[in-house]
Amino acid sequence: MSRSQLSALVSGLAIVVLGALLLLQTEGTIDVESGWMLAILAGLCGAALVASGVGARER
Amino acid sequence: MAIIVTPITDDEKDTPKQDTTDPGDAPRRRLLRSRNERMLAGVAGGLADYLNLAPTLVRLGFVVAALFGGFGVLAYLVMAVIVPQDDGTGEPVRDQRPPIWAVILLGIAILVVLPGPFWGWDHGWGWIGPLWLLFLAAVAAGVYRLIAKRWPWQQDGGSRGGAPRAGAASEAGGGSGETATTEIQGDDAAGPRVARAIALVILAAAAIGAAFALALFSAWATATGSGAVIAGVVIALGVALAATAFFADARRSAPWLLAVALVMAVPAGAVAATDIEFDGAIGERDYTPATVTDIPADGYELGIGQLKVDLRGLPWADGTVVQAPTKLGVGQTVISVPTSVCVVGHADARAGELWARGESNAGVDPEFDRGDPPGRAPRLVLDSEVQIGQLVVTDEDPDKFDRDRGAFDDDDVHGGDDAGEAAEAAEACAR
Repeated sequence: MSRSQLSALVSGLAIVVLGALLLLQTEGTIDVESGWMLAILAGLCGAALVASGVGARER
Repeated sequence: MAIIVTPITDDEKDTPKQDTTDPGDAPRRRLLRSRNERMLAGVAGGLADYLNLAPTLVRLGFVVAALFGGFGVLAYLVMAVIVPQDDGTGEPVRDQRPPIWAVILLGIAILVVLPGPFWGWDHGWGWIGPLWLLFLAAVAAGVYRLIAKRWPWQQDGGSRGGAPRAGAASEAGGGSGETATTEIQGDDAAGPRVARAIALVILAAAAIGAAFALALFSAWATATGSGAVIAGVVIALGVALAATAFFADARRSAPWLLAVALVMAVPAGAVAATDIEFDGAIGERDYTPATVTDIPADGYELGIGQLKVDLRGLPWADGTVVQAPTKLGVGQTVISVPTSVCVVGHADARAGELWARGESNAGVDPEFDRGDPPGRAPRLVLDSEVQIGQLVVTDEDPDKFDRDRGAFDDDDVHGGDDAGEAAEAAEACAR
């Protein structure tokens, strides 16, 4: 698996985790405090962007 | 100058060729963005070279002009987009796209400068904004297609577009073995280049506006109880993005999938995390109850927009107590009462301002709390909630509120003489 493939996979999985977290929060299954939620959002967004950036550099 | 090297045929040997290098001509002074003397896009350096001035002096001119309503910034951005870059020989780089950051900033400037009604949201036409953006994007893309012979998202040259790549050169053998230099295909006229740059800027404005609209829609859908749908779409986008790892043809769509997923997920996550919930209605609502029984038991509610409740026509006899609960998601609530009415009760917001008869509380989680005073003054018991926005309780006509200015037309009300209305309110409660 090339680096660009890996970055697409990592950023895709990060988005899936983000969506799952959002789903659980909106359904009330989890109740993450706003500060933590925003920190998690920022972390996953950062991971997705870094991963896609690494892939873009290789391409 | 960008050139293509192509083989020459025997027929071509006999016909006069157009040599675009014109070595005998005196160099023509052109306004170009400097390649060497640059801090941002080379505009000041190029202008200095064109005017025979020191670059620092020109930069200083832009800074000073920026102090006059931002003219210098706008002029710099416009020049960065429409003035071609020097290729190092005093000629413009051919068919080069303008700096993307300048295009984006000009696009944002267009969105900011456009009048409010353009978006339609002022009048409750929430869907007009995105439609306008789509129309704008389609027109800009069409103009770009006509001028540049390719769509804005297509690569220069190659099989995808009509125009060759900037600076591309190809060498082909065969034939007589001789080569001739011919000018690259494409339009060198300043008019089409400027028009293409403008189309690109409008397209960027439309794209930024569309992203903003999508983010707003995502936040609104989450706040109105459809967060699970947004989450499902985000998950689907994530799966599609991950799948591009295994399909080379789909790799080009990965950045777009990522961008759309983030634009949807971030506002939805922020809304979900802060527990913002409101009714789905959007627009402007005016209520003018004539009697207390006209006021619904559960009060007045609106999702996004302006909620105006005019209580000045009620029979406010001494000892009258009126409860008119209001709940607003995002926007502004204006409650009007006669000057003689004492305003008590509770109001709160997640973020914004609560302005009740001259008393202002603003910021994050502002609250208004006032207990019942003694006496028989008629009173309004507030039970108001604004998630994000402003609550105004005043003795003014709510129709006097000027949305564009964010204040009442009568300057001595809000922002003009808070103390005056606060004194009147205190007098009403002391009766």
